[in-house]
Amino acid sequence: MTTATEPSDLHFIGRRVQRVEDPRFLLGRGQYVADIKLPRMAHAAFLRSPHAHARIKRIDIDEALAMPGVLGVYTGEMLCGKLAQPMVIPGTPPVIKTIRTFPLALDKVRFVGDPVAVVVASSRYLAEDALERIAVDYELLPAVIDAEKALAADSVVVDEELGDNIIARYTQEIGNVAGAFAAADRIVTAVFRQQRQTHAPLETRGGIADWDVARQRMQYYASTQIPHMLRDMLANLLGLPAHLVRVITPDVGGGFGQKSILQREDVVLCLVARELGRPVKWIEDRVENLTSGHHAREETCYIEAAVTSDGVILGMRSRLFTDAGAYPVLFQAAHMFTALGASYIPGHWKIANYSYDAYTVATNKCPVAPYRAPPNIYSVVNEGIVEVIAHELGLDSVAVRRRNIVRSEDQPYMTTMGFPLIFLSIDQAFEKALELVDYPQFRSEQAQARQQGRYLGMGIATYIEPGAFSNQLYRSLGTPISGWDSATLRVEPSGQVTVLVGLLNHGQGLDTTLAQVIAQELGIDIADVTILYGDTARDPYGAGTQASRSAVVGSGATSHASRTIREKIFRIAAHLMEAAPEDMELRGGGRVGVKGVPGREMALKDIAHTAYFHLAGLPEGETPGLETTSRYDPPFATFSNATHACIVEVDIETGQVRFKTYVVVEDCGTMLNPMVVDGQILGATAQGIGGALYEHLAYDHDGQLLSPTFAEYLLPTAPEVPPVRVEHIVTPSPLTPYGVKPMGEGGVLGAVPAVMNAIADALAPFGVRVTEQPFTPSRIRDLLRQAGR
Amino acid sequence: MPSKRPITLTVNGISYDLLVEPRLTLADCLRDEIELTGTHVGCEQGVCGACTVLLNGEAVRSCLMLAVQADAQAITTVEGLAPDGQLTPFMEAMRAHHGLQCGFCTPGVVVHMTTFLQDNPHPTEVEVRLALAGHVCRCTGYQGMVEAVLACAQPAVTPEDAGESEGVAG
Repeated sequence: MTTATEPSDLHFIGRRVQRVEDPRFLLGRGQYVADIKLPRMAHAAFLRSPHAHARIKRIDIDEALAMPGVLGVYTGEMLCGKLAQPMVIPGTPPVIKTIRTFPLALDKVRFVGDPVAVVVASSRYLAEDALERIAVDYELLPAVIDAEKALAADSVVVDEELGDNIIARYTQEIGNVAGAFAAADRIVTAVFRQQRQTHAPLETRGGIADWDVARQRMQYYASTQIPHMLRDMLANLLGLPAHLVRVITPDVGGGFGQKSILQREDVVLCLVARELGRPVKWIEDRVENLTSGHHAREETCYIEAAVTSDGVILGMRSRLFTDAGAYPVLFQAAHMFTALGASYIPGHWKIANYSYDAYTVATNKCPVAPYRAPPNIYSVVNEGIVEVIAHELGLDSVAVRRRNIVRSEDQPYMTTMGFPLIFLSIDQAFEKALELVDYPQFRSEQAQARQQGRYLGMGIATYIEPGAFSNQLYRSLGTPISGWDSATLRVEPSGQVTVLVGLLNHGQGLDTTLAQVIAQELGIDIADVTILYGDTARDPYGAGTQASRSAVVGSGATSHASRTIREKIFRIAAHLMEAAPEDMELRGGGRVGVKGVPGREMALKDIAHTAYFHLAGLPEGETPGLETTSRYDPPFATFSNATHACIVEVDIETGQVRFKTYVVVEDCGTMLNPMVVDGQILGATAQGIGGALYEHLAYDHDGQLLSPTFAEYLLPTAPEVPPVRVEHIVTPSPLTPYGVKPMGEGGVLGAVPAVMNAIADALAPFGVRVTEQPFTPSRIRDLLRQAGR
Repeated sequence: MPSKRPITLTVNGISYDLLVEPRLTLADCLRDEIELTGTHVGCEQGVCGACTVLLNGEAVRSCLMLAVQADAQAITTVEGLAPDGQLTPFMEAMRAHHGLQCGFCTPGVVVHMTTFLQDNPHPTEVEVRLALAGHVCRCTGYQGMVEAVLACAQPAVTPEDAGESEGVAG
């Protein structure tokens, strides 16, 4: 393993520093939104639709209003008129339609869990009592719950304003696809299906809206990943000037993208707090979270590959259907990720001819929000199809991969996506993973096991992960996400450092990793730096933590701010020590000295003291204080790469899958803190395993959710997750600060196809297609039964 | 609405006289009446383990108990494990092995594994994973937590104490 910087007293970047934020969590002194109490605070509970699709004829709230402790009951009709702006995502016809949502359902409900009314009472228990007294008269409508069936001309329409159920349709052809298919020895086709899943952060969603009628100011405490964006959206919808809306985010117990959007409930709480003149708190319960708290991943892809007889892919065609659910979410609606998913399918393979036809479709199910590696279907498809190609042609799948993979010597490799793959170690990671599982040895073990009637399989999946998107990329997707981020760095009069950022740490270790950057650049101790975020009134603008951006943009903004302040520190210190600024050096522990003169140094606290209190001691023209704000817009998109490889045994009698080995070889360039990086890989891998094997949000024909609790929606626990061996290759990006690359979501991109392909390899003797997740025991038994076992 | 009942809970060694509705869960009582918010609610169903506290020294799910059931009993919450803010050895191990990220499941894990280690000083990795099966974590993938527990395990005194070392179940 190589690191970009060697550990030493002055180097913090690259070290496995223990996390600064851990003590408060371990001691139970974290503060999440549910832990906050405000004077006169009341509690909200939402009445949610029990039907997938129905007209609301009448809502009778009189009995509910009379219940003990009830302060107010509100319906969609009462609140929607109080919005200053509609909740609309403008479209770019004909590709994307304009789509709309509402704080509470208006006229009709479109999915089971659609919020219909809200009760505010003196306690959550009393609010829920009153929910039972609200009488809603529904006229049931047929529901459409399958995305492909929703495209039929006679399908039920979810949103009449759209005319049909197509939210967006993307088509593109690159290269000469017809020519590739004509030249092929064989056309291999497959369908990959991924089931509906959900983020399920341990902390459910929630917020507290506090309207100050005297100051005409809204303060919203939110469990969110995007405080500034949330502030912007709330201000716009409430008709309030942005400087009078403040979002405060305490500790957040996981997000994974579910909290990277505006929640309809956020809007309702603010509207209702304004009506009542008291703070209103809502904490979602788990049934609400699994039913209404946004879903993800449900996509179907039909893929055709034109191949030579030795498995070289000449071209591909895909048709992709994204099931977006019943409403859009602001401002990261499903169609953004349909486009990315379809266009990324060629991925890390050398494919010059590719076309796709991709649909984002509305159905009467819960709306979807981006979930860790939202377009992950691309890695499922591009690694899954190679497995199918190898099987159809009777070739070794590793050999087929070697014939198609983008190698270092191919870089820069211009992809069908319009940008090059460069500064990646795709083939090295792939070969290293094969080495770690001892591939040749595995094949002989597999052969022996088959003779004993035992079925082992190896799955390998390589991916490229894009992240840390620039302003320009977000503009090209048509979404108002800024892309850049900020850091305000202030050396306090006493010499310690306070840093404010526009990111939102919710488990990624930013209290620590950003402190490592500052400590390194200013030559101080990590204990002398505090990183703050989550208050839009205090912190400089940012796009929060999502899209694996924080290490790249966070290190960009903080390093720039650090260098600006370091230059000022050197100017002041040089002036005070009668030396030249270029002769100054950092000596650690906050000391600044003259190069080559060991005794000549001073403490940062004394430099700060001069800057604050003794301006006559500053050099000519120097401003008072020691504070700066820097902003950093990253390159268009930055890529990391990794390969996951696992060996499983499938019990063909029970359909159970057991892991024997799991390895990851990962390259995200320079790692600010390898311990944090490993944690992200392990967590994302567990989510991928959960998706491949266990998690399924199943709806019945009437659109009823059959898995609304953790008893049915099975999250992997410790016995279900194998020990994972992680190894790193370090190929720093020359385009980002320190060479950091985005990596937090990638584990999902590797895990799902690695597990899928391992099962496919194990069951290869039976000639079954392993392409439709989840690979539960009953799914595997069904496949085997079809094959006569 | 049923009238409130008087109960006395001893939490982290301090006695609280409360008047509560019979339907108030122990978790909500600890969080809202006693205002110790370190115990978290993740599912209200007894699956995720975030609400784990000790009742007379045994790990229980406080979301599945009513406050009235804990009348005259002694409860330890995460706050009671390190009242002076000094991390316990298991907490230090969790930090050293990166056994937490967002922190939401952490108090339940800390409360349970602290008592698990007292009762099982030489666990195998399989035993640790099975013990952790009652805790859902969405962030870490569990590996750091497992390593933290194993790091706190006492070395076996005799070969019999060491237990069997098997492969990990899938």
